[in-house]
Amino acid sequence: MNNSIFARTALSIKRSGWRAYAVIFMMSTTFVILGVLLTLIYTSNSISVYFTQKPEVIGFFKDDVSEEQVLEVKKSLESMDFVAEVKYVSKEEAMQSFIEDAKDNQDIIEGVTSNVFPSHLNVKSTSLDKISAVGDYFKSNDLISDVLASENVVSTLAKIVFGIQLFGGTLLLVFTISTILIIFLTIGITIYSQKSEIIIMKLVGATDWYVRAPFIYQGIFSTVVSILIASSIIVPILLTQYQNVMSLVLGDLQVSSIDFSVIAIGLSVELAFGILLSTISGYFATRRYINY
Amino acid sequence: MPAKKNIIEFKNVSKKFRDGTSALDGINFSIEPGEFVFLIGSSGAGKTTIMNHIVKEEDPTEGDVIVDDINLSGMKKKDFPSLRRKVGYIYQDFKLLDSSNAFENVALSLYVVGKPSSEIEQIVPNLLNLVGLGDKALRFPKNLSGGEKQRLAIARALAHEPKILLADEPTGNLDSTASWVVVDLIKKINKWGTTIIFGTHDEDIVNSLKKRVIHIERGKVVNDKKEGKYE
Repeated sequence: MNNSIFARTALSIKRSGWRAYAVIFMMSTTFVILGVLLTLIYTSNSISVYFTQKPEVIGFFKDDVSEEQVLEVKKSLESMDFVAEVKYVSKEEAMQSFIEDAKDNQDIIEGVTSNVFPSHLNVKSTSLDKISAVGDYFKSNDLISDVLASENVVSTLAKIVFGIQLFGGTLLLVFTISTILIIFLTIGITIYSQKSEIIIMKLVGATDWYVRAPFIYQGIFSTVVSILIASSIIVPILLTQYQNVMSLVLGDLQVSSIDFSVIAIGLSVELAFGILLSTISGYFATRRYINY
Repeated sequence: MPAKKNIIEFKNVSKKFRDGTSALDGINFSIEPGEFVFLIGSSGAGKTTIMNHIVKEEDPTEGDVIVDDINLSGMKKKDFPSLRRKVGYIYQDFKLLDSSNAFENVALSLYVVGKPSSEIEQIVPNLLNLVGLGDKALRFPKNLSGGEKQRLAIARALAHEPKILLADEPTGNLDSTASWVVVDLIKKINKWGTTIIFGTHDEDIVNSLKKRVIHIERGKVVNDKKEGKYE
């Protein structure tokens, strides 16, 4: 008879029988869902960062505007604190860019001259809410013929991303609570099934901790095993299929693959959080069900 | 010669359950170290409730229970284990661990107090020999007779050398022969100086031992005689 806390925990798990497997199955499923939600939140956050970091306004100049005048406007924009970057695209550069894009369609390219393409300034603002200031500047300038702002697209996307994060965060909270409840109730059932042994241990002078510890450790063990099972399902998928799935869902929008370090950090946080939750849950469950 | 200090004192102890039932009503008695006391009375008289108060399984509604100079009224939860290590408790239904063998059942009492395995491996066989189960250390409770189960429970109760042994109807489930083996064993333990409180309905046992008898009825002490008989 080994009396170490780990041996007694192992015995408690062994005596839980099918309940131990059922709990690990339920919790693994929950952690898979939590993993998917965390990935969803991470991805939406990446998309959000991608767009909010690149709010762009394009100001097209009238045909008769000289390059000196354009560079004057560029200089003026660069001095503004809400402007992150200004790129000047001349008529020739605009034409080259068009030819590059339409190289497979020679019929369109033939006969095209640089006069067709207006010179323009691509301006990136420091943040999404500053994009309208850049637009207003262009609109008030007589040299500008047309303004193209991605403001509406970006703000709509930002709203969608926020919605995903709110929905994902709420589900995350719900599943976290359900994990706590699963641990709490499972420990309660296990304690109930070993009630006579607990009574005997108390009556022969076992300390409170001696009786409670195996149940708390059992909760931690189930959580850690469940996280590892869930991770063994999710991590390979994230490493090999993430980009494929994202390009399928998001189309042309390029989302970079998830770095292994990000997954390792996520897994560590999940493990730490899981151990903390199961300890707290086990502590209160044993307090609730083992009346000394 | 100075008077012996009491090891157990009940001072005006009353116990009412939440539903209003009165289990004990103004109980007063004291027991000296090494005494052998029978607690007799009909079922539901309050014998088990008295024993449960001694191990702090129950608290009095009124009055004080003092065990080994400690008033249990103010005792904190963290001190319950040290109290329970001074008191061995045996029951009519044995309360053995069915999934553990005889050796492990006795060893449990020693494990919970942190005794090292090397000591446990020496103490347990001695205890099993003492109760006549030396050759049945690896048997599980389901493979022991009623008398053997009760002797195993006694071995477990003695493991941490308690000052007090509470025996709640220890012969209630045993035939006459097994009962007397258990009684003789408890007498032997008493001779070594352990205080015994023996709750029973068995007239023969009470009348033949000629020990102190406290008679409880409806939660009250109706008789307390030095060399009493079952009345």
